Amino acid sequence: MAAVVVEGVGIEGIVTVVPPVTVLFKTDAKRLGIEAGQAQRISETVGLQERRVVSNGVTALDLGELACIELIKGLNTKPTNIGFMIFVTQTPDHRQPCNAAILHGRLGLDNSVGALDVNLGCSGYIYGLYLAATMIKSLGKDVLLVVGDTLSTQVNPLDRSASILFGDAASATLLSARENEKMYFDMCTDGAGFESIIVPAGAARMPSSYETGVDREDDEGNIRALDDLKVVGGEVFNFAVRTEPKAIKQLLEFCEKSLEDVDMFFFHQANKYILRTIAKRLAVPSAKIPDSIITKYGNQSSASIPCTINESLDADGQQRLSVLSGFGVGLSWASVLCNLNLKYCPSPINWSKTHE
Amino acid sequence: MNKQEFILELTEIMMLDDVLVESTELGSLSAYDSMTHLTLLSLFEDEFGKEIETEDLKKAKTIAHLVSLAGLD
Repeated sequence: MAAVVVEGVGIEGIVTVVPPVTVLFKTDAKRLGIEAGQAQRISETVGLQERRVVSNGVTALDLGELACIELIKGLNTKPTNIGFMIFVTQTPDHRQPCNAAILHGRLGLDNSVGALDVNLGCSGYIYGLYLAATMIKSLGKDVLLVVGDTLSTQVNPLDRSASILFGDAASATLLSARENEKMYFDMCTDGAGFESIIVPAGAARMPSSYETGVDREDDEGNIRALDDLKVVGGEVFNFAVRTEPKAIKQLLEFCEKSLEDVDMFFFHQANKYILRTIAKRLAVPSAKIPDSIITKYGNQSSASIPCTINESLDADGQQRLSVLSGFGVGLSWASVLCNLNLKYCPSPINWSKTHE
Repeated sequence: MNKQEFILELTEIMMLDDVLVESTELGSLSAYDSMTHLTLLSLFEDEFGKEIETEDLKKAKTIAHLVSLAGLD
């Protein structure tokens, strides 16, 4: 779409919750029989060291619930100030009803509060921010945005390309009316590439069956079933490093800003090599592009951008002109330029059962 | 980057002890894998202005084919 500006809204605070279970890359490599030299190259190139995964039936909804509770508490706001809730996820608890409705009930929100899910992945945080920002303009109330996935549960453990990548997480973000603030958005889709990142079976086009659960080996030795998440690495890499630099430049042109004007770039943490390539092509110093999330937590899908912000920033009263940008399933990509001056921004929080 | 520098770069990308030669068969290199492909995709585009796909890299049989893909033959 053409870039747009939403005036008079801003982000109040962000909380990210990660599961406490850590899987080391060297454990993954051993499990998959990846030889030491190759494991070292993968670790250094992609930036994999460890990832956080859910266990014992914990879902993105559970992680998101804690993120919301901590955010509302941390901002010292009231649930009655919330006019709408959006949950961006591709790993909902159920095909029906949507996660947002269930979370609405768990949080005890008023019946006047609308709630919906958005089915997007790595670009989903920006799409969610856009929906939230435009809702604030019409509702005149705060909007709660929850993003999160448990993709570690969607990959085949014998898939050498995908099973080493994904970590689980959920984030909650509160947006509200803010005078003199502007958020500049640009969101795009290339639906012709929909098969590059896909779970082929399990929905209406190909319902799950015995057949869709049977493991098959591809020509690169990856084993997965049609019920599992498939990521075509080369296609996704080319898509990311070709579209992102152009998208960022187009957005900045629309905002009449330069790359030098931007204090920080918070990209979806797909892998370090993609981030380094984007940084190189944009000619942006790597210090302005945090990239430690993939190393510490794994690829967290829609939660990776807010998690990077939680890891990088404090509620220190400083205003930072920031670009947030995500790219992935769809194929889709989206960016926003905004001032980040957060009232609450703790480091990522460990989920625990005591919060159940 | 000339041909010799390109072949040295390939050797480094695959973290090999012995320097590659044009006749080296890619099928004999366990390090010529999907991770190397990703690295080569950006190398070809950034160094040589060539937009290639993973399939092009899979079709290549020898180092000489990669040299040719890079336009250095």
